Amino acid sequence: MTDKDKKDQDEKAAAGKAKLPFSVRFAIFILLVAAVVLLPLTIVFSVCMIPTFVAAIVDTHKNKTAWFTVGVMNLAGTIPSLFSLWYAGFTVMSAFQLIIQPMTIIISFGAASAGWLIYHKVPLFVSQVLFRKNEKRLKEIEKRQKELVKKWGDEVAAG
Amino acid sequence: MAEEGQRPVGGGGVTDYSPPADRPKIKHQESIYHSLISQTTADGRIMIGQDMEIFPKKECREFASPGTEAYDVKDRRMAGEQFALLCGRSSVPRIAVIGLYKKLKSRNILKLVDAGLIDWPPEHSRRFALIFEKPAGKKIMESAEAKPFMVSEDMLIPAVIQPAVAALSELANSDTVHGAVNAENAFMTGAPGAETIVLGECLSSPPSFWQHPMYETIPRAMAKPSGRGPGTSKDDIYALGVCVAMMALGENLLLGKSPQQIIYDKIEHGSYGAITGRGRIPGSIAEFLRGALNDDEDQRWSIDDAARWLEGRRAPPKQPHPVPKAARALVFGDQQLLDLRAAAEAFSGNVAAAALEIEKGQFESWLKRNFVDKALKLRLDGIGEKEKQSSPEKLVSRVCMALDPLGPIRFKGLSFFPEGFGTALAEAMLKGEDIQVYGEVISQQLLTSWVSQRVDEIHDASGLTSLFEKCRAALGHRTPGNGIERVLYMLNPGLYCLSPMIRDLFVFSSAGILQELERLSEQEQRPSAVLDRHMIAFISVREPRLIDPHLGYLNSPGKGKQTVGIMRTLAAIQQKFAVGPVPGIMNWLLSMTPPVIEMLHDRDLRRDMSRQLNRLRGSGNLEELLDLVDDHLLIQDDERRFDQARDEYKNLAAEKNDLENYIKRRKNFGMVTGRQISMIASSTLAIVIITGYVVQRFISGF
Repeated sequence: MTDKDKKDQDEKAAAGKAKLPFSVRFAIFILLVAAVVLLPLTIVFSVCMIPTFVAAIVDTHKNKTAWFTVGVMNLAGTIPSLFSLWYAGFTVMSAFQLIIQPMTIIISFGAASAGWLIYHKVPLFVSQVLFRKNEKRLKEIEKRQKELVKKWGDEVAAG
Repeated sequence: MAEEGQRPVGGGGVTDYSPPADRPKIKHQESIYHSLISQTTADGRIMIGQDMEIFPKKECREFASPGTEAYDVKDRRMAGEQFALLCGRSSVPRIAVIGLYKKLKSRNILKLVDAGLIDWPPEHSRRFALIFEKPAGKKIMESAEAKPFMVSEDMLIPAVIQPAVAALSELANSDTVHGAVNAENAFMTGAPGAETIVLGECLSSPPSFWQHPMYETIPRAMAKPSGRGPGTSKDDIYALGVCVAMMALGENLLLGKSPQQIIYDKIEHGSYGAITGRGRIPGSIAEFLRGALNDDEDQRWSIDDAARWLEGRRAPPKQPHPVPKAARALVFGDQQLLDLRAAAEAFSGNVAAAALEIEKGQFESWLKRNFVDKALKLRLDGIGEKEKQSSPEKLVSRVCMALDPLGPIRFKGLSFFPEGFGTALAEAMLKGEDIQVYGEVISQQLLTSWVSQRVDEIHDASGLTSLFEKCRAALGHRTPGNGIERVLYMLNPGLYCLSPMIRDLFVFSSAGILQELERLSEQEQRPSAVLDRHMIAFISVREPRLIDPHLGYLNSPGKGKQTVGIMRTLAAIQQKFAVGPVPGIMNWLLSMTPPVIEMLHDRDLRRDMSRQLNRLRGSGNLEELLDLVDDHLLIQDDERRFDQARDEYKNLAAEKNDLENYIKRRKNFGMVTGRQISMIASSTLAIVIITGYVVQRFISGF
């Protein structure tokens, strides 16, 4: 592969990466602008929502439900800090003062932990319930099949 | 003596017997002779009715016809003596003719007293018996080697020809032939010097079945006895002519010559010449003999001609057309053949050499040089290329047919007329001979070829052709109800059922089969199959409506359907002929019901049906049995519900398979759903928390 080819390929890859739809690019732009404009909120939000970002990163499952499950609880734990920020004047300083308070972190991260708990325990519980239900159904099916064979003979199972 | 027309229908078991006076009148006259007429008393006497007794220890061989046995009979109500003729098992008695025969008024034919099936304790079997009055006289010839009874020249006409013609005329008026006129089957009865002829019986075997070729016209003499067919009354006159000639000459013409020599003599010298020879024939009967022994069938005297001659009104017989002879003989083996009939006869005797002779072409040039006969050329041209390329046997057979169109069909050692084919086949089956060649005759269409050659001369040629084509079609199917068995019964309307199970019992009707099966069912070693190929073919030909609708079931590969087919057939016979209860058959059929019950799918229904069937044990109404096992609505409902059950099972199996697959993946089982639920739970909790917090802030006034 020549240098020229390599260069072309890199350009193509770059073009592929940059190939986001305009709406997305516009939304990102607005979000960035909002993040700058609402910097105190951005600071508190970014720090309090760290468990959600971690959940989004560490979730290897196909459906990626961890960030949402953790996120909504994390958000519930972050809301009081945001209220506090608003009452503290919504300044960058107050934002920093808020995030260094252990209570802020404990509440937001604690809520996120609850989210993690839900994420880990509820599926197991549901799985157990469904498993038992299916096992019961399987027994019912086997029983019915035996009844059919008893009444109609083995040929009912043929074909 | 049993009164004619008063016997029950059906071949019979012991239960069949009813006193003659109680016998119901039935529609078909011959079928009254299908039933059992004897009863064996406790002391072993064989009685027919209350007054007639057969004495098995008193054999009277002098009255026996060929293939039969004769025993003394005494009827207390009659002054004269009687004898019973027990028919043999290699031929079929002419039951269809018995009714007509019994009505004969002539004193010059053996008088039939009674006929029917009898139990024959000496053999522990059943025989067909014909009971005749004993003629008070001697046979014209006591045996084949004996000298014939001499009658003076002036008595030949009044004592022999006139009474015999009268008797034969009465038979002919009943549209039947005697078929057994010969010197060993005719008696001279009466005071010495004033004897009169009494013709022997003709009922114990088919016409011409035992006739020596001497008594047969040339074409019929060339056919095997059982294949000669019924013949005509002209053949009876011919045979009478031979008897008269022997009596006139005082010479036994059967002696000193083989049947084949006699045939060749007749071909060479003509029947009249061969029979009268150099002997002196009285002038008074020479004219009769010329007419009776005329080899030209059109010129041969009929009974009417003979009767007119007796009345002095008959014009003298014409000379037979001279048989065309070749100027130079065809050398075939050690024979010098001068005419076509002799060539045909010689060819049929050595098929391989004949085929070679035909292929060499020498034979064709011999024909062209010696016989200017357009009809012969047409017949020979009618032999297609396909036949020329076929087997030597068929080729020779077709050539013989063309050479001697009036002669019999000659094929693989058999020689027969189409009308006699059925009897020949029956004889072969009765004797256990190989019947493959008979099948070949039908499948190779030799019968129809023969008929088509003489289509203008044969009465009802199209009927015969149609019958043989039906036989060919039947032979083409191997299933029970078809095959050679069907052909046998189609061609022999008077034949009894030759099923190995009941052939010795002379069963002539479908009802008889049912009754004999009832008897068989009581035996410990009863056969495994209730209806065999013979019985199915027999019933199908005799009573098609009773069995043909069920042939599909009878021929089904499934045992259950076969049994239902048997049940349907037997129930139909029982109903049609009002046969009484048959508990033995019922039990027999019940033992065959497991496959029938297994045709039902529902096990509960099977158990229920088994219980119901067991309740029928010992009863004998087959209709009840059929109502149970052949309930269409029940079977259809069972089938429908089984289909539904099968679908349900299939769906359950699919569901089970899915669940098992889920369960196999237990590690992840329900996790996806669980995560979704956890999302919902988490969201719900968050909303509750946020809402609670916001509400609380509002309440506390921010």
